[in-house]
Amino acid sequence: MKTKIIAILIILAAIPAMLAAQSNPLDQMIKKYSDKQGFYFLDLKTNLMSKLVDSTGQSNNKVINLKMITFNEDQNNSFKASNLYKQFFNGFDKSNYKGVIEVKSSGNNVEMLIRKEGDKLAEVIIVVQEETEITLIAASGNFDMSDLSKFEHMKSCHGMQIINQLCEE
Amino acid sequence: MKHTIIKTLLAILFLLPAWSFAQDKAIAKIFEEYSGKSGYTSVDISKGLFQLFAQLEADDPEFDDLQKALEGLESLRLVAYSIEGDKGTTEEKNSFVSNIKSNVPFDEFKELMVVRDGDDKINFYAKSEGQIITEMIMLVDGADKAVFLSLFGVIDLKHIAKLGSTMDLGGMEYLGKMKSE
Repeated sequence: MKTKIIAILIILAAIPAMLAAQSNPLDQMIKKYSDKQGFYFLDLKTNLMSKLVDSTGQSNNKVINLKMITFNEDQNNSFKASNLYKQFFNGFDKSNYKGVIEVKSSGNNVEMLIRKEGDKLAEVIIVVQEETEITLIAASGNFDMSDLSKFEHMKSCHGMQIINQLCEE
Repeated sequence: MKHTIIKTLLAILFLLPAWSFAQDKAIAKIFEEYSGKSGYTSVDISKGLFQLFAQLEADDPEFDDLQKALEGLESLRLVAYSIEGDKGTTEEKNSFVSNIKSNVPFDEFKELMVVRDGDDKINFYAKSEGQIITEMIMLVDGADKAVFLSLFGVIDLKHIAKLGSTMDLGGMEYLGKMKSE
């Protein structure tokens, strides 16, 4: 009986740690670097995103959460863009994701990973590495590739042009 | 006699995956060697992305063609080198082309067509199983550029040219030459 109670207590104590481990590393990075110079963030909540998708005039129940971090070394040389890349993937379980596209050109790399639940697309991760800049994008929810291209009216947002280019391609 | 035929058949069956693997290995080696190298652009797209696009619904007939081209594809890999201004050299471009020519087993492919477009010479090669094209290679050797493209999967030649005009990736435009020819 005592063993059972100890086991339950250990599980209860471990739940917050397990939940933290499961959360997207972008959440942790957004928290960590929120007040640091050179970082740009986008963290669009479900309800707001639903309205944006509905702005096409068609009613739908699609829900997308979009998170993005962009960091530019030229604006803050105390961080390295390459270190942020490593930090992101250190806290990321790649085994659940499938790399679907990788483009390398003159020191610039673009990677796109997807996670599916059954036949449905559940999450898209896009990483864009340039010489002194990195952009990490995570989109999750109930959507397909064409929905991502609907963010074209957000082209002025730093990094959003990458999503549009990928979707157009 | 019967035993000899069976033995020969078994030997061929065992060797087939090894031949196919060796050929894929040669192409993969080219991509590994040049991917990320200064002056080169590489693109590696896997089946997952093609499946996502194949699932999209659209009323556009042009998009239908693209979906038909994508639905059977397993992978698309492209490496391109270009000389622009003081970036890039003809020596490096020629070395890239000769490396491809000496390492890719072109003799296992059937030459589909050769297109001459100005200074560019574009060769298309394919490998088929019966009536189905399972692999395609495109090699572009131009005055100031070289492109090597490899496609794996069930390839529909009628629609594959659509990929070239739709995907805005350096070198893919040459795939459109398939259509015009």
